[in-house]
Amino acid sequence: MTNERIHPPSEDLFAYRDGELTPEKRAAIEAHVMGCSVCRSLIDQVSSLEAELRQSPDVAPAGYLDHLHEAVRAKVAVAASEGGVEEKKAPPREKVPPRLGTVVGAARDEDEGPRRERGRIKEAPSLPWAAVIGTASAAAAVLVVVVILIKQGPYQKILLPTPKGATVTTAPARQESLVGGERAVGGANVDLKEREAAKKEVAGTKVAIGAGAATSGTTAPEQVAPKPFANLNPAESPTEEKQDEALKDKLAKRADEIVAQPAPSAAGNQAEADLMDAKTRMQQRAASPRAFADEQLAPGPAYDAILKRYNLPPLWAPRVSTEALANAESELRNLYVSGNAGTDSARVRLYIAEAVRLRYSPGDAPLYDEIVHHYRRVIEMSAPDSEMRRVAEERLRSLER
Amino acid sequence: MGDKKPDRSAVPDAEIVKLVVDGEIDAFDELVRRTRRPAYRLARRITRNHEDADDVVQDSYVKAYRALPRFDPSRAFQPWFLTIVARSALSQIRQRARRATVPLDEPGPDGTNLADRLSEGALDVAAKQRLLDAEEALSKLSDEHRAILSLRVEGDLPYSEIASALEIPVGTVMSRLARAREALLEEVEKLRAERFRRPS
Repeated sequence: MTNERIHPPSEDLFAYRDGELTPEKRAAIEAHVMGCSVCRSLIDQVSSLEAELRQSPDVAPAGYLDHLHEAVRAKVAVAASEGGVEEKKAPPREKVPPRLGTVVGAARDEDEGPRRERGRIKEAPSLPWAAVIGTASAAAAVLVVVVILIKQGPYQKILLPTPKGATVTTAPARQESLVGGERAVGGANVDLKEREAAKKEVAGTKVAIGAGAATSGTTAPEQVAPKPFANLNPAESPTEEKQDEALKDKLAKRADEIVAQPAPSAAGNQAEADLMDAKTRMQQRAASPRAFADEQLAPGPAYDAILKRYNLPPLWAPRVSTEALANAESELRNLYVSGNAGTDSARVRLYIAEAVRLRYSPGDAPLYDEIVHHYRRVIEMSAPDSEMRRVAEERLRSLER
Repeated sequence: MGDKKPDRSAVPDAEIVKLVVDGEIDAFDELVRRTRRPAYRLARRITRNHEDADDVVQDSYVKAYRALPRFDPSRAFQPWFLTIVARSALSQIRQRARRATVPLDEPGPDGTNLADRLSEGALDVAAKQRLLDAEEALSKLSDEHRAILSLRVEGDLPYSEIASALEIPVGTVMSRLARAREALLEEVEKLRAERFRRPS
């Protein structure tokens, strides 16, 4: 006959340690643990190991968390433009039909999913379809406009520095600009009053820019520079086109003047930089409106260095030499994985997809999946109407399984 | 004027969530700032590589943003969010298993490994070795065990939250966590025994 003690199951010991037991059970386990060095030791070992894991230093690359923050900011902005947060718990909202596709789909992932899904599925048959179609059309219109706004709005800062003095417009403000049915061209960056003022100037009612802040010092830079590239949407109405043509000429003239000036005053520097930037962007956009969304971004220093080293263009194209691509692959991967690719992430990933594709032949399922995964991420990360997305979609379509 | 953002570092989670739901998406930044580190650590532990962890965390924030109206304001945001991260990470490793290869699956994304990072710290040799053992042992566990331990270690989540994240009953959390901890201890013992047999 041995004197062996009967130990509680380890589930109970660990639950005791985690504070997850009912008071009665806790008391029972505690009574055992107090007198049992074996069980105490087990608990101590686990506690010690977990404490060590918690103390483990971060494995994220330097600067990654900031990069993550920026990436999340951009993605959330896109999510906001695609419908924002889910509907609240059906308060009396004038019978607006729920967005079935997105809401039900999203609910599947989260807690409360099944209950909510069941509820919504029941609602579906009673939907007034005219209202659904109307809402869908309105949503599509809102999406188009908001995407334009997003491209130039505060969340675009990671892609494009906001000019000094630009107004940060939040979601309610964007909606406001839609209420009157106006095309909210550049609404995120430019205050409407400023825009009106700029147009009046162009119509010849007042000449402010030509004798603006840089020379006279009497006008504030914010007043002088109407953030002109905010007006550069190709879908403008004919009247707006004329006005913007005039504005374009005027900006071009002013930019030339600035170039001719030897040493602009410090106060005028930002306004002048904005004007020069506007002129360059106008030229780029006129040359290739579609590519503008991607090509407007100068490559970051790390990406740029790789591009130069291997003589690659900023965005992958069929003309890229396969040898250069194969040679650049490991550096591109390192850049991506380091988290330092920043706003170049999608372009880097497109290159990686193409580099993997060099090794691919139909029937190689693992490589196929990897390539598809990269293309899909590029599509997700790129702007809806961008050249990069178009390229990734085409390349994905042409990939033979 | 312009870009200056309000300091919301002292604003409770529930108030920030309300701001975001009401349309002030800039406020979401603060939620990201509060949770990005544990979220990445959790995702990284489960997926075991930087690229997947990055994808998981970014997608999780978008999911969380969309689902904010369902957030219970009486709770803290972080545990709720970490359950989303855990689910996304598990989904990612399931897909990865189907893909059979892991793209960019390289530990030490910036060229350094854990040992390098530890060498920069103030830990003594024995403490560093214990930490390396713990990490290596964790990495040897099954996905299931690693996930549940990571939720406990990185998220410090109660069993009910872990159950919600993994979509299993609380009783299963108890038993699975216990098996995972036992497996972790066993792996550590193996590593130590191996080193004892092969002193460097």
